[in-house]
Amino acid sequence: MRYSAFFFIIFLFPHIAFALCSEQGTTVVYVNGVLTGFSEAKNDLLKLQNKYQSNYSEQTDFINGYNPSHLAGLGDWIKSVEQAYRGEGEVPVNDYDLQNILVQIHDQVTTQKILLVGHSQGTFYTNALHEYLINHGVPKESIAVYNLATPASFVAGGGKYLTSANDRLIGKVRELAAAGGAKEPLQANILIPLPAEHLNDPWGGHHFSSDYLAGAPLRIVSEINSGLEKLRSLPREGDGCFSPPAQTLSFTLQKFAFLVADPMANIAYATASAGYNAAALAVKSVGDTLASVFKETNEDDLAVVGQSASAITALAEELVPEESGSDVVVQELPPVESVSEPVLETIQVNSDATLEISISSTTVAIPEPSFGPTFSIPAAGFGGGGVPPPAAELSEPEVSAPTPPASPVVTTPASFSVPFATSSIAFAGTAVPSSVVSTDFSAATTSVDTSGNWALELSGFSEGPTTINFYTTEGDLTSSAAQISFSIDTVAPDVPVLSIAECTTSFTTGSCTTRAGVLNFSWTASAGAEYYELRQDTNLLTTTTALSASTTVAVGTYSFEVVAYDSALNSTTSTAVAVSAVTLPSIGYYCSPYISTYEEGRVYTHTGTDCRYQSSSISVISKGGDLYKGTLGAASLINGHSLGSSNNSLQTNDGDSTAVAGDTFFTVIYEKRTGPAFSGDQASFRSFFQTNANAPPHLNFGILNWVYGP
Amino acid sequence: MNWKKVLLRTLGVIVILYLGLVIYRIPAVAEKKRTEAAVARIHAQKLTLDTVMGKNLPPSPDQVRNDSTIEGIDANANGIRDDVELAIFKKYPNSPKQRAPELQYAMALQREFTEVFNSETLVAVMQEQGRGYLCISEDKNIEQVENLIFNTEKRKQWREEIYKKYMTSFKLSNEQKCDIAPSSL
Repeated sequence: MRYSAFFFIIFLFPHIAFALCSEQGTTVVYVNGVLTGFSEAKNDLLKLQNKYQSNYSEQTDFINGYNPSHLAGLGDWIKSVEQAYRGEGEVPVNDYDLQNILVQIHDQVTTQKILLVGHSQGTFYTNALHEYLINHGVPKESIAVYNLATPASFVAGGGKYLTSANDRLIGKVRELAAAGGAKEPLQANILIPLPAEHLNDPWGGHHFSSDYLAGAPLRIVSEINSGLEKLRSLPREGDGCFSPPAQTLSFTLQKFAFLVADPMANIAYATASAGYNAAALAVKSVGDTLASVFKETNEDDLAVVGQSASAITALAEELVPEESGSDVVVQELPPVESVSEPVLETIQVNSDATLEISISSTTVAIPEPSFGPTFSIPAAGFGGGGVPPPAAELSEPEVSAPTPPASPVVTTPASFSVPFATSSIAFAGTAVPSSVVSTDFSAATTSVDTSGNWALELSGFSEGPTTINFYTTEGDLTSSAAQISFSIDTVAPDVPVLSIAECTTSFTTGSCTTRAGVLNFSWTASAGAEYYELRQDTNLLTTTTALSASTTVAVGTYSFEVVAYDSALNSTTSTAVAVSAVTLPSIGYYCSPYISTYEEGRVYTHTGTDCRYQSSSISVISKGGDLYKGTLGAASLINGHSLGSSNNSLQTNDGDSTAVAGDTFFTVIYEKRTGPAFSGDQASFRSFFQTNANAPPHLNFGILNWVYGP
Repeated sequence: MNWKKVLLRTLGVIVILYLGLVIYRIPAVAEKKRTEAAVARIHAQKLTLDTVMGKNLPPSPDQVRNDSTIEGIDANANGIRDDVELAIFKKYPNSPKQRAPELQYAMALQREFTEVFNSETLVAVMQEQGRGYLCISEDKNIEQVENLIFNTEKRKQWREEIYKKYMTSFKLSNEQKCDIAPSSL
């Protein structure tokens, strides 16, 4: 008896295995859009995983929360319409597909950090999944949503999204939402160029792989990565990473209902051409057949879907020819060209939870392919397939493909060869009159005037090379890209340090005082500089790529600075150097056999050591005269003399037996002021002349530089 | 002693219910074991170097016979249908490095014909296909292999059917993409 009870318990109750929810790792749950086949959803997920793992962690789990189509897609469209009326905080979490996804992914999600990535109609589900999960065990800090090509009016949890301005489906949804009073999709925030093969695709720009992932792969994976990086690992209680929904009787009944209805709907869809008017009436009547089933979900919202589903199912049963038989379960869908679109004017949800769809301001219509211009239901794969359906399978096959407008021409700026030193650039050019010019850089657009001119200022360019594409859009058609490449460089070169050779032997302390005449400049190289400008009192003296220059100045006071420029004309200016140019007394000097004074800088080969010091311009009672070997500030005294007050004094022993041709010498004559306060003048002068250790005590002195020859 | 009679009857009912439940569960348990074995087999079968090097290439199959069944002919039993294997060798006669990814993907696709009978086995095959898909990475080549595998309407229809019947959410594999590292070839 006890054993029986034991076995009874073992067999009667299911085995309970608690799945772990790791604080390590991350999970991306991708929810595909409407009418995306299983194969396409799989390929989309693979491409997303491949792009992501090529750039970021290879250990991030990728899960497809598969969003299947129902009733040959019509169920999804009706549901999408219902979802479009939902705003933030109005998300139903008891949807059949939503609960199905939750049940299916429950055991597969094994990390605490979860990012929900939705595409197209799947974004309604990612919003709803977020709502469900944060109320069933997942902390808000551990989950985020990132939506692509979203027809929804919000992203749950304040997540990011990406919608291309070239997304024709979202554009159409926007129009319909505005007409029907539904909540409009989020504004486009990127312009992804249309691939050539999508130019004539009515739903071009919307495909997950071939439009979004192919057109903006790095942005998508980087935003997914940044979304994941912001998540926090927080512990969970219970089984797995969240509490799955209970599979209630209602859930089971719904599953059964779809299983029964779907094959019949497929058949109905395949044979619908003979009975669309009847179908329209059936949809409008919003039958009650399945409503009772869906009522168990105690949500009026689902009744909309259920009622519509029932109507379609009933219609399918009514329309299926007997010879179709039940063995045509896997019959291929007819080309979508046989299904056209209604000119949908308004959509509204009535108080009795029924949908009212007005077409051409008259009545409801289920689209029929052979009837006029209408609303076409996208073929399978539009919501996620990597490749759009062949053009032949799309609507209006007889209409010849319209020619896209010509690409815009960018005339301003005139050149892109030089980097721009600004992150904001004003573009202008020409394009098809009255069209719209846009770029893939931002959502900004500009209208082309009737003369074909346009202007568009873009800002926010990043440092470095940039390539942007300009497009002309005329109606639903977008031109091929006019590509512009340029570089942004807003970083200035390093600050150069300016030096003036003559200032190293300044006649004054703390400032630069030197003789009027040639000034020799040099400066340090600036990283990033292409060239330099030498400026005197802000006026350009010279432009050079060298690190030195010279100029001649008269007596006066000047300010010099050097400016480093890079190729983008970013500039950096050195600290200014002030120079006071003065005139020193003129002096004369010569040795035998010369009989007249040497000239500044010339070469002389004298043989005698008797030399004459001439200083008529220094009329003082006491003067000194010295001969130095070397240059001012780096010299040795050969001989020094007291000249008294003589203006033309012959001195002896000015010889240097070691002198060789080319040696530089200079002669100085200076006033030796009288009085105890000036007793140090001579020593001070000699210190200045020899070592530049100090400034000269006054400026009443003369210097004559010369070179020993020959 | 009515209570004894009641107790015995109650016990009898419980035993009958218990036996009924056991009988009811037998097919489910058997199905579970079969699934576990198939999933393990799907993940265990890897492309071998011998296959890549063509050490046991099959003879050219009779195309009519080959296309008369869903799974076709795999005479050398390496998991790759013979006509597909030969087509890949013909495409890359001198490049094992290019053959290997396509052979791996072909092997994974072929499992749709031979191993899928419920959602669990479909997911396992999807995961292996994912590895092969990423190992090739070139869309054009992926499409060419798929065209070789799903070369008849029956085979395409088979794929549609199993997808419709068993489609479910699934997690991709994070394992090494290529069975044989390209750098080793």
